Amino acid sequence: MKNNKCLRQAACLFICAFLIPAFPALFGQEDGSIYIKAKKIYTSDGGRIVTAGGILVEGGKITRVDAKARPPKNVKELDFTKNIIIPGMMDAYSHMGFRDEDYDVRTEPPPPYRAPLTGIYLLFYGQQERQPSSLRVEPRFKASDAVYSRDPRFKDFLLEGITTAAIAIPTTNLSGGVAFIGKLGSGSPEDFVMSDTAGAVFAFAGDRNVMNRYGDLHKMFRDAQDYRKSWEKYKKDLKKYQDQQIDKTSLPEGKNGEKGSETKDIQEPEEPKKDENHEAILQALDIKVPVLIRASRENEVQAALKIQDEFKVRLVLVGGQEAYKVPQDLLSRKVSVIAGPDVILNKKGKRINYIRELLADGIQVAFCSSSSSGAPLLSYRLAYAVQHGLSRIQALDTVTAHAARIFGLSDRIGSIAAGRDADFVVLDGEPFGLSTRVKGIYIGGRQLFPEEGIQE
Amino acid sequence: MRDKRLILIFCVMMCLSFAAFLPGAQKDRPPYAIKAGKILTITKGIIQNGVVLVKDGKIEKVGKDITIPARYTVIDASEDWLLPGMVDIHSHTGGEGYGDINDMVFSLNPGLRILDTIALNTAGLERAVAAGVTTINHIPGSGSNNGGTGVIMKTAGDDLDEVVLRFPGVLKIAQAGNPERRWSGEIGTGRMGMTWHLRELMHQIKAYHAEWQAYESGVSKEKPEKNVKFEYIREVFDGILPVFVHVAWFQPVQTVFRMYHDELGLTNAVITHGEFGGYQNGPAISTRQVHYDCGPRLYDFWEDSFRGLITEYAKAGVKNISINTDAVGSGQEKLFLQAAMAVRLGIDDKTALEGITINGARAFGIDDRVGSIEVGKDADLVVWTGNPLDVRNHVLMTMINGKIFYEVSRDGQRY
Amino acid sequence: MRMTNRNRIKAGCFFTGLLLLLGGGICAFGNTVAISGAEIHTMDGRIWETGTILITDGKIVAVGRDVSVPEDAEIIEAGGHILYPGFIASSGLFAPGASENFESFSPDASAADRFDFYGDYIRFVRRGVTSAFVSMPADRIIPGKGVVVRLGSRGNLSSLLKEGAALNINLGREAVLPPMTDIFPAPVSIENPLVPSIKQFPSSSLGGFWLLAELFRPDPFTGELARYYQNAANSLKESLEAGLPLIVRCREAAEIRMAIRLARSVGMPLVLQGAEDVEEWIEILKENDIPVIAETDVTPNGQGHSRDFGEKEDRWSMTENIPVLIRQGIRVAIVPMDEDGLPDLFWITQYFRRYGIDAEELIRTITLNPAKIFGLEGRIGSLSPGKDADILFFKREAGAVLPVLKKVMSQGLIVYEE
Repeated sequence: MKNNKCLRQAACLFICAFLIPAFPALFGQEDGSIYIKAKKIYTSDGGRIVTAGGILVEGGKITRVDAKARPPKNVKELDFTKNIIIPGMMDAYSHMGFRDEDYDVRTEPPPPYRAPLTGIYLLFYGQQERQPSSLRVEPRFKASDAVYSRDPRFKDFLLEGITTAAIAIPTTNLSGGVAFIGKLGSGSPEDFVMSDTAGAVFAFAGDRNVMNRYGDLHKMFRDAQDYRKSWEKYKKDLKKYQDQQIDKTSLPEGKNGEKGSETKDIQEPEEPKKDENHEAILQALDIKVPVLIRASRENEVQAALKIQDEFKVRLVLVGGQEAYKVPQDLLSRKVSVIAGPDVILNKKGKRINYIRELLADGIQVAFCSSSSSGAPLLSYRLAYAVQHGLSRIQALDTVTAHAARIFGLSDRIGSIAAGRDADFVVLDGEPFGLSTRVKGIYIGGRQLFPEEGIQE
Repeated sequence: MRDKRLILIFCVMMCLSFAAFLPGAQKDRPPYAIKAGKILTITKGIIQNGVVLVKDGKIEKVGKDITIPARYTVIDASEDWLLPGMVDIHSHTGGEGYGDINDMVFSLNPGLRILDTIALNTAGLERAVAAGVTTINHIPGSGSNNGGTGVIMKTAGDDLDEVVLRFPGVLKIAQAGNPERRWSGEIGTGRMGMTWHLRELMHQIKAYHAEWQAYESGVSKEKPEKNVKFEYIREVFDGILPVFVHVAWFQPVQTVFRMYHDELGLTNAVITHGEFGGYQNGPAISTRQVHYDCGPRLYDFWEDSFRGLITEYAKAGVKNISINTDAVGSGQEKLFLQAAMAVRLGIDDKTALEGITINGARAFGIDDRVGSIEVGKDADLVVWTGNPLDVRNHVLMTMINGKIFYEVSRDGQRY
Repeated sequence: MRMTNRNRIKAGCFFTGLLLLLGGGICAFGNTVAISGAEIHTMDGRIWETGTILITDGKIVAVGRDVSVPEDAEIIEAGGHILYPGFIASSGLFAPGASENFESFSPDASAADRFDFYGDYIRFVRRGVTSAFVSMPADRIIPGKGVVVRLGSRGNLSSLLKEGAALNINLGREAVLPPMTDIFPAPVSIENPLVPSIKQFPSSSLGGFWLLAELFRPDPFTGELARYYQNAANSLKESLEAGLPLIVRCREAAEIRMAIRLARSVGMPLVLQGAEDVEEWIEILKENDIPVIAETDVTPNGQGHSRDFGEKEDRWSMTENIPVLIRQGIRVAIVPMDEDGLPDLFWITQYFRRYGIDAEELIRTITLNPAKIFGLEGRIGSLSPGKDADILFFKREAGAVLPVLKKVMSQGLIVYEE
């Protein structure tokens, strides 16, 4: 009797031990699927707004957006029925992670100041003047190689609802290297860089001499084309030479025993030098990456459009403040604009919401901070744009759908729709309201705020 | 009956209201009893397995068999060593950078007061606390012949009043070895010029002091004019405010003791650095019993040989020696390392440990408060994992004025 | 011309006509305006849901629900409008360029001398900023005295509301003169002149503090410094005797400590400006009723964030401190660090709604608080009898995030209409 009982107890324990790990699976926790119910969802998907609807997230992706919430069984539910959800926002042109962090002014002495002419180190000069960065950047430099991905400020930006950013090297130089798309709050450094070649960056703005810059850029592109031509010629010559070598070995002997063909001997062609800068530009010329040109004033915009005309690249204007004056020129060339960081232009006493103007003409417009620390002000500035005539939907589109489309990532980010990454922001009010606060951040379906170590 | 009851209630209320004024033990400064495996008192020998009682920010009792009273928080350091907080008499870490310690336009700046630029809670001071340094002489730099006046302060505290031990702490002089770089077109590019400036200044202060002393003691009836620059450094000539002289090389060191000790009678003037051959003045310094503060360089390459500085001075008979870091010349937290290096360069453990505790305190007359573990002194106590001269050891806890400002288990290892 | 009767009549008509015109002009000046039917935010405690403001000769004579309006009053129907007092900018140079003088101290210099009273400040007025404290630059220790002006626009001249309103004092690294001998020991030349030491001093905050403390003593300076600073000390005495508030621009804890000590030693009212490390001093600020002019780098029409491209990071903004100070009950006035953002003063204050601070409290930072700081609460900063009629007409519009400014009245005259 006793033995039987023991056996039964043992059996029970054995079975329980087996089942316990299975319990989470039974409750659908295994792959982290969640169902979000919300008061209102701005999907940025064709302007669709869902009230009292729901989002099903499986495996970090959105699989379904329901017009009326119908949570499946055994899936963890998140109750945001008092909240509004928007897609994670994108800062379409940023320098985050590149803040000048030589030293902390207040706790450590500055580096020694080396006096000009004499080279004497003056340790006591106090605060060292810092010059604006005219960092020499070449087209082959990649921002993803140099960004400080562990900059604690990324957390600040995330808490404002910025989940992705197009990040470029901060410089006033003509070439700004290659920008990349970063996804904030990702678990691993690999996930942080969504795409390490998001755009070839150039700057016409910030320099009174657009003529020089246009000339230099034109030459840069031409040189790249010539470089390609030289490689193509090399390849052709190489083939001819190789054919010749083959002919030499395979042709039958002549009557008098001579080998070879009748044509002159072709020498082995010299391989041209590989140039990574030209290679980088060719990526842009082959429209493998968009060309981002920082242009604000009308003449800068025109110069950028000329580049587009001649080289047939895919042009995106960064800034684009005065582009509203020439909407047809942009539309006919399918040029989009990453506007910002300002919203209103003061022109002879008139205040012009250039973002509204561009959107009204049908141009794709995204929005950016164009700085290393301005991302948190994105929604505040868009609220200002809303004040001056932009609709909330339009404002939201600039930091979601349009931004994703410009960088060709619409299948992954920029909207709440089936197939997209489950990146969204939970608000306690309408977006772009000054009292609205972020209540939750989700990246790939994973809750990053208010838990997971991120403190408010 | 009613009257009596009223009187009773009145008395009770009065007592209660007085009780409100009684200094209760502050929440973060309860009385402590520290049990340590080895207590290095510095002045009164080593106590094995002893106890130190701390109350109201002071050391209440030190000894071997002490009964720990009730309500004392016990700190069990029975596997560890207990030493007094270290004293660094040459430091520039109390501020927030180079702009806070030097104004190098005029060669003489007696009015500049480092007290105005103190910053508490800087990362540098936090590291210092984590490395057991509790008192520093925070002074202006040596960019000018007279950089101003320094302050003797603790490295942590709740407010400025608690932190400042004495202000003015010292009158900072740089005789040579830095100020000469700055002046072009003015007297002071060479040693003669600099010494002339300083001599003039010191004699002015001396005359001012004599003037006022004569008036205050009734000898003279004429009231002298108040000079704001000299008013608060008069005490130099009362022997209260020491002159602290940064100097190097043989001749300038010689000039220092001849000018300050012999000519002006300031026997408590301290020589600091003293490198690049200054040690050759050893015998003269020892006769005058001048205090010598060594660092941050602890050695000299001189006459094709490598010499430990303190060793050379000590060989000549100099007894009052202390060791500094000249932070931020090197990190304030490296004081214990400086001491270890000094031992490596030829002095003995005892001198090294005294050089980072009691000797500097004595030089400035603050040894009634800091520098050793003795009853009545400030409760500046540091728990080490072992001998601080063995660099493999580190600090477990630092207490200043009876409050624990650093504890490894609570704050993590900061240094 | 012969004095015939006809001519007399003509002359009489002419002069009467002239008199009438003049009289009309004078009468126009002595007219009464009533703004009725509006939601009035007086900023001194009361909000009238539907009220009337009666104005005579540019001054408010009555505010309330049941205000009797005289028959000859010009009525401005303001139904659906929300009225606020004109906004006050607590700091601004209103003039390009930093100072070029080498003097560390010039307490007798006045901002009124560098302010263009004939300028058109419409870009401020049309956004609601009707008056401003014109301050002195931040790159010398005592650059001089600031003044409060009413900003003029489109033909209306600016006017001086208060001369010598406060003494500007700047602490910190920016305000000290750099030593001129940093190219050394190159021979003296035009590029590297030998500047007298006196003009280079102070070159560190240590020197700056000392010199400042000395200046404020009753008997400062002897010897070589007296020659240069005696005049400054004398004119400073005059300011002190007038009881001017000291506006001390500072950042670090040591500088704040210096400011408080300074103000205490001379018994002058103190106002802190900037003061990033102010959090540890809140108790003392409350005890001594010290207001703070808080500088923020938030601007809605982003002109590039101030911490971009490795620019000079000497100025730190108080953005994170502002909500803390307001919640603690400290009197705060808000200004943008970048003066180009001044017209957006209203929007800048409303940014702090995200911290849970209500709109009214934030508007106080640009109305009543600055008025009190500059001792002008009897004239501006609120809508109550006796105050100047500087009134902003806002209207709530569908789709707009904040109310839209429709009309601006300055001293009883409409100076801007949308």
